[in-house]
Amino acid sequence: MIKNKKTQLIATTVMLALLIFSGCERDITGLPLAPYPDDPDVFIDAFGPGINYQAFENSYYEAIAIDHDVVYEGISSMSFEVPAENDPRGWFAGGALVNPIGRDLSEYDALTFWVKASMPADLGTVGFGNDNTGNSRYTVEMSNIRINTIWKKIIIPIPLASKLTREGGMFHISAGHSDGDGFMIWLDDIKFEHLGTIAQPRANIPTRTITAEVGDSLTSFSGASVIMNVAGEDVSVSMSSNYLTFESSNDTVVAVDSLGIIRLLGAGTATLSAKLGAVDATGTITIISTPPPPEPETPAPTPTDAENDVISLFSDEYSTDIPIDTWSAEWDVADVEDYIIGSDTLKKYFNLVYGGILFETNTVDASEMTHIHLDVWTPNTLSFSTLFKIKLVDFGANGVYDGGDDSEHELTFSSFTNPALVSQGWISFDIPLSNFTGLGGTSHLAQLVISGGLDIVYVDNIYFHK
Amino acid sequence: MKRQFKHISFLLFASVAALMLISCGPSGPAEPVWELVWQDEFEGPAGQLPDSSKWTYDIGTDWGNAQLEYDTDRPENVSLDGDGNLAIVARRESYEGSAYTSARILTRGKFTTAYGKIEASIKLPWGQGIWPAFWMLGDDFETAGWPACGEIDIMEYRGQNVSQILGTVHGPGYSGANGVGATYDIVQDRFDTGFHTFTVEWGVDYLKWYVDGLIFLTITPDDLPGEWVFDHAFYIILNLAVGGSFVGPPNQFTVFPQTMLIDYVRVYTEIN
Repeated sequence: MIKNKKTQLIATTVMLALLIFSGCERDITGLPLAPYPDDPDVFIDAFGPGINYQAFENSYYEAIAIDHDVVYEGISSMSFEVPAENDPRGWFAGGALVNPIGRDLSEYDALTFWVKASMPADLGTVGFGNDNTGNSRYTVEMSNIRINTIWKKIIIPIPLASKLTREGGMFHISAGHSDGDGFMIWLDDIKFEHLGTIAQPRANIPTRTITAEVGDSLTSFSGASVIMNVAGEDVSVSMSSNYLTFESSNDTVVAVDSLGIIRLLGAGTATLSAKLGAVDATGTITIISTPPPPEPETPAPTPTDAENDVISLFSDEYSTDIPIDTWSAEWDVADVEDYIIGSDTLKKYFNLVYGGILFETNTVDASEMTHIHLDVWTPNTLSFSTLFKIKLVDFGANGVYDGGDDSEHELTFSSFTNPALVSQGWISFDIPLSNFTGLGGTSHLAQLVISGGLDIVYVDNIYFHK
Repeated sequence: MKRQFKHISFLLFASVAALMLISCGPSGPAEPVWELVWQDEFEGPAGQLPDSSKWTYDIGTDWGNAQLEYDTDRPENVSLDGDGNLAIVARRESYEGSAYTSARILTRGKFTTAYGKIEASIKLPWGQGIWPAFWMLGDDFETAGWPACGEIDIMEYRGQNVSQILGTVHGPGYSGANGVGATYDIVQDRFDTGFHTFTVEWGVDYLKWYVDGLIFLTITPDDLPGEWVFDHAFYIILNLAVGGSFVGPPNQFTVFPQTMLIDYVRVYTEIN
């Protein structure tokens, strides 16, 4: 602080000396230009420069109006009609005043506005830093401010203004009915200010433990808040955790990169502590970084069935695979990607709840075939109750879905069936089609559905044979 | 910060302009010329107690104001911060029957002055129930008693009122709540976010209070409902009280510890 003052004195003296020696000439080369406008006005008597209003989804879109009768100062205010409970026009009044270009707000310390209502009510949420793109980084909000029929000034402190060099979210509001009743809200003189009386931030990030996998990255955490002292009075706001700077207790496990993204680099446990600017925040986030699940190191056993005896859906062993519509139906809950070991390609299912393999466009006539074969490998640890299910669906003679003659059958496997489920080893299913007793026929097979509880499975050599 | 910069620029500009005027033209009425006669810049390693040749301690509690802290001479409560400041630290801890500790240091028996310019640069603490002060008491306190000895409060402040300080005198007929003084409100700033200078200029028949070089209060004998007792030696006191009649007790939102950082105390005498 003292050093700063001295530096300023020296700088100012040098500037004065330059001014004295250079007379009236003013050299502006080298002066930095502000990249984005720092206009403070959001709504004074009209929307501030470059600002438009965007209603929130599901809100009453016509809630906003410019009011010339009820004003705090000047000639107009901005009014919101908050719909009553069950109003068909919308659930609530809400939207954002957005400046799509962005403004440099780094010299301000608060958003302020005047507000009144047609009756005493709680103002649901107001804040800034929501640019309504879904990608807002620096949102700050105050909730449930008591408002009434007398104009009241609200001050929302900016937790760390240096972050706001290009902010599009100027102001947002969201308000619902009050005990069932609709009401009016008027807002006036919404602007960013440098009050100079805001200090002593006390930030908090709720303490928690997160388990994630090596390779994952985390960008933000919910629940961050800060209490700031506004001219002697403490004010609490919720804020995006992007205002905080995190530090890891163990950089080899969890590292924070220059953009603030938290990356899990190794297995183990690390604790993140946070600062708001130079001030320590309370709360810590413990990250348990688990090693990624093992992957198969050997390809599935090479099929031994003769090519002529096979209708292949997926295999590197057979020259032709029948065309598959999709390896993950729209209606399924699964992700799928190719996984390659050497020259062998597998289908890797992950986040698997149930996965649909569809060959509906060209249904398979397996009436000459006797078995279905597939090789499966899972990294999941197995318990007594772990299951894996295989379902076949036949579209019947008309060959179309839901044509009235569809039939299906699902077989369930566990550690006690033949074949038995194993973890981290290839399981070769070679199942007589006659086991699918619910199937009306096998001449218009259209779907193969896998499910059961394994959330990662690698699948290879899916074919029918005789 | 920005405002301060402008302010300093203005002062510098004004002083440069003044110098130019002085060098080029006839001088106006003589401004006081001050000579530094006593100072503590609080240079030294962190954790070191204040210079014992300059400061002593009041150890205890209450002090007639129902203050809640127990004032100690421990480095936890009063010591150099290693960056050229003295830190008086109020802590919430149980000690000698009190719920808080802090410190109260004074130059009694080490240094006194009658008249002069007494100045300190201080960054104040904050919060409900926090009461720091930079003040002076008549050296005849033990014999004459209070308020006959006189008291000059160069700066008092309520931690719940972060942008306002008070300057006050107490004497016979104008003591306690009837002290004579004024408040100073800093605009678009607070006293707990940076250092500010608090100054009294004391002459035979005047006392003038300044914040950051800006005068906000002048008291002459005519302003007092009682006797002008500011005609003898006073000693200097720096303390950080917790609670007491002036501020009320801290509440659950008061953050502890709280630190009063003093960059320097300087005393000048007028030589013209």
